[in-house]
Amino acid sequence: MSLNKETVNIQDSLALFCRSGIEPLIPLSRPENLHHYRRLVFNVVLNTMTQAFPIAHKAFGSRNFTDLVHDFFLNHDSQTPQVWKLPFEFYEYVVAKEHQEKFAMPFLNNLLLFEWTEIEVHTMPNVIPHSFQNEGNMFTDILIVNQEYKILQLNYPVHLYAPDKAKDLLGNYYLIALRNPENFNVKFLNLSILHVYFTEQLSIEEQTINEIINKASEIFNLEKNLLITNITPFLNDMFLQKLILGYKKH
Amino acid sequence: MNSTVNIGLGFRRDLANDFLTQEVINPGFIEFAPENWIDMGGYWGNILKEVEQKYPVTCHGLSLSLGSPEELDWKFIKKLKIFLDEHNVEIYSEHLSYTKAANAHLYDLLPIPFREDAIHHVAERIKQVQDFLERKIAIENVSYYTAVAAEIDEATFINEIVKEANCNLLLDVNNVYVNAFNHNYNAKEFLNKMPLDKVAYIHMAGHERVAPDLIIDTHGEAIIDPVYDLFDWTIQKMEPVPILLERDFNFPEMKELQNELNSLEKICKKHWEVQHESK
Ligand SMILES: [Fe+2]
Repeated sequence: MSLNKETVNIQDSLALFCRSGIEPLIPLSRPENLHHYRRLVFNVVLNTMTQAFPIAHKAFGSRNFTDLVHDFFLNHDSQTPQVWKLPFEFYEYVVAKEHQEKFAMPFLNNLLLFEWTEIEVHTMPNVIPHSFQNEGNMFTDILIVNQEYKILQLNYPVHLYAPDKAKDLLGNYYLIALRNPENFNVKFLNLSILHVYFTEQLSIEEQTINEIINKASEIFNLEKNLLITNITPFLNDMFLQKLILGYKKH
Repeated sequence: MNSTVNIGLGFRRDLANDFLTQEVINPGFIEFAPENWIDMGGYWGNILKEVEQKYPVTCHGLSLSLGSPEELDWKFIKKLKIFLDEHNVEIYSEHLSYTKAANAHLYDLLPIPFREDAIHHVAERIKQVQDFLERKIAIENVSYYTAVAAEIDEATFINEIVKEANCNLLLDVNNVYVNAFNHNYNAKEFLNKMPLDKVAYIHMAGHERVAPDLIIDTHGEAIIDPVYDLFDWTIQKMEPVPILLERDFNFPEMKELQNELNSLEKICKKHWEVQHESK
């Protein structure tokens, strides 16, 4: 590198000033303007987080949320060159710092994950599905699945209730964030553990529902008939929600 | 972009519908930041496809951090190359500034110290990126609010880098105006020192005067008359290149934006079409 150590230090100290507010000891032609850089840089990060996490922003209140973003921006070295992906780093930071204990917000990790997942699924690259037909047998034909989704497991139902209420409902919540392939809207749907299993099985390899029922029957120790009764309305709903797009062409 | 006069407008999501319907605004091309669109599928990815079918495209990068002491981000540059090819990007430009230092991105443009070692460092990085992308980059003169540990003047700094890197220049005329105001120099004298034969692209924008002696380059206002005058004066010394109007927020009625595009077009036609006809 052709850069002198001194120049590197100057550049680093300006960048660190933007994060910490600690004034750098470097010659400046207009030192009175330095604070604008810190302001401009921080505003980009704060706006990004406020837009990404509107529910968390509200739960914290504007002032506390700003403090949290300050803390993140100072102590976390942002790695993505694409600022719209930075909210994921924020989520990881808050989890790693155990802020949900510190702020006595036991739902915080779940809430940030839920809000980030909406962005993630809304923006995820398009996955072109295999060609499919609309007619077939739900149990014996291969089903073609829309891959533009993500399954979440939460301990607080932040997808159903405001944080105030969700915090009292500790449990096991499974949900799918699913992007509609026609209008690109993201919908969150509740799933049972059995539905999670079927959804994952449909995605990982080509197999019929009957084949999945055989496996599920052993794993969950359930009668096949009971499984059929349980899974049929779910599958019908997933056709409607466009998780299942149709039947593989013969 | 085939014609002599090409006036473009920065593509913003808030205005997506106006770009698509072309009812009031109808620029000659659009510009956007690849960072905002790489890996983007779904609704917005689709909108981008639609808008690209209607306009030629240029890209203006944000995060390459050419002036950074950090290593170049080759993982990102590889994605960038694919993106520029897939989206038929006619001009790719970046800022003569840095956004990453001390192992962290800052997502805004910090001024590089005007120093000899920085010239060689930045030029070397531009060359590496140009070689990899197999295209020239146009680097942009940025606005700055304080010079940082400068040992040489800004014009020399820019000139030397363009020469050493063998790259193009994206001349932001508003930034020249802003810097001349903030640092108390003569904008025309500065422009006379610029390698105008290397200019591949011009930016025009509005700004905000936040104190009697400070302008911030906000892209949130209309272009002011003195910047139009400077533009008029500058382009007479140049061959035709595409002109972009940058407007990032505080959007006016679309009619007003189109009027700004028309004003720029009028000035370009005055100098460039007449000049070309007489050639
Ligand atoms: Fe610009």
